[in-house]
Amino acid sequence: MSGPEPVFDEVVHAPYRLRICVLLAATDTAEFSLLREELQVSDSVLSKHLKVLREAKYLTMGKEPAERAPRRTYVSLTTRGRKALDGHLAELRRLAALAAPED
Amino acid sequence: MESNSSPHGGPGSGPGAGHDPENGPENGPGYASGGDTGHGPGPGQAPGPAPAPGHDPAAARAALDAASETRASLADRVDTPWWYHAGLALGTALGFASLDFDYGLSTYGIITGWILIPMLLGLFAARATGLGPSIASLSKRPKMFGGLLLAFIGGVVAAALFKYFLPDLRGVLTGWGVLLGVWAAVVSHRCDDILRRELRSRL
Repeated sequence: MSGPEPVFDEVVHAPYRLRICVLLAATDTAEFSLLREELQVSDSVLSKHLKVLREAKYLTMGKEPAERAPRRTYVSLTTRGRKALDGHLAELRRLAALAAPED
Repeated sequence: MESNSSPHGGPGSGPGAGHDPENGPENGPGYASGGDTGHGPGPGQAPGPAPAPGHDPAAARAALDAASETRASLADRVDTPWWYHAGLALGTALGFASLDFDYGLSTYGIITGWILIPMLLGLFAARATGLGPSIASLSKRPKMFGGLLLAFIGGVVAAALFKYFLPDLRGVLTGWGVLLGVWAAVVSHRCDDILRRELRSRL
């Protein structure tokens, strides 16, 4: 069998969280402000979604040492998060394929 | 709209937007069904909750399109600074040069060139661009990367042999290091191109 198993993921499903995961999956690490700009959301909204993903252990967050100003926050997807995203995308593809059966 | 009959819905997935306990505008543009692109609400249009794709292929397609668009927009940001590539070349060459001209400092040269410099470059590049180095982000390494790795390991083995059999021969390892350094810079630069292409591909 090839490819990830299609599994719908409740945590990843929310549009912003799906986009966050997709962005993080494409990069090793991304800075908080970059995510905010890409998603065009406020700090608080982004923080809220990152918190949900972090609680699900789908991502890790790290801050620069305190003596550096301004302190930047870097976000990375965990292996678990990547697996959840892959499964969710596979499920979306499976569903999308139902609308467009192979010619 | 969706129903509660989604096979994916566990005990916590109720009807409506039950897939997400935090529905509201902050949850982002909902997945559209039908003709909407799902990329966001129009002006004055309140973004709705995120219905589970459930059995709705159109909603799933819209979600995939939105994700693809997000990836594509990131592609424009993938531009590792020139000094990252140059520094990588310098670090590689420095490590080999320190093996070549061993004045009791080769350990420091190796640690600096092969560990400290790449690590610091990665940190500074992430600070400058907001992204990690593209070489770490690729799903597949470029073919040149495997060759570079082999050449690097070969160089280290050669260094040990030179030290043993030809201890007076100087310059060869430094030359090899410079060559590998340039190679590393090219591979690193190429990783940007590959990552950009990956990001622009549809999900």
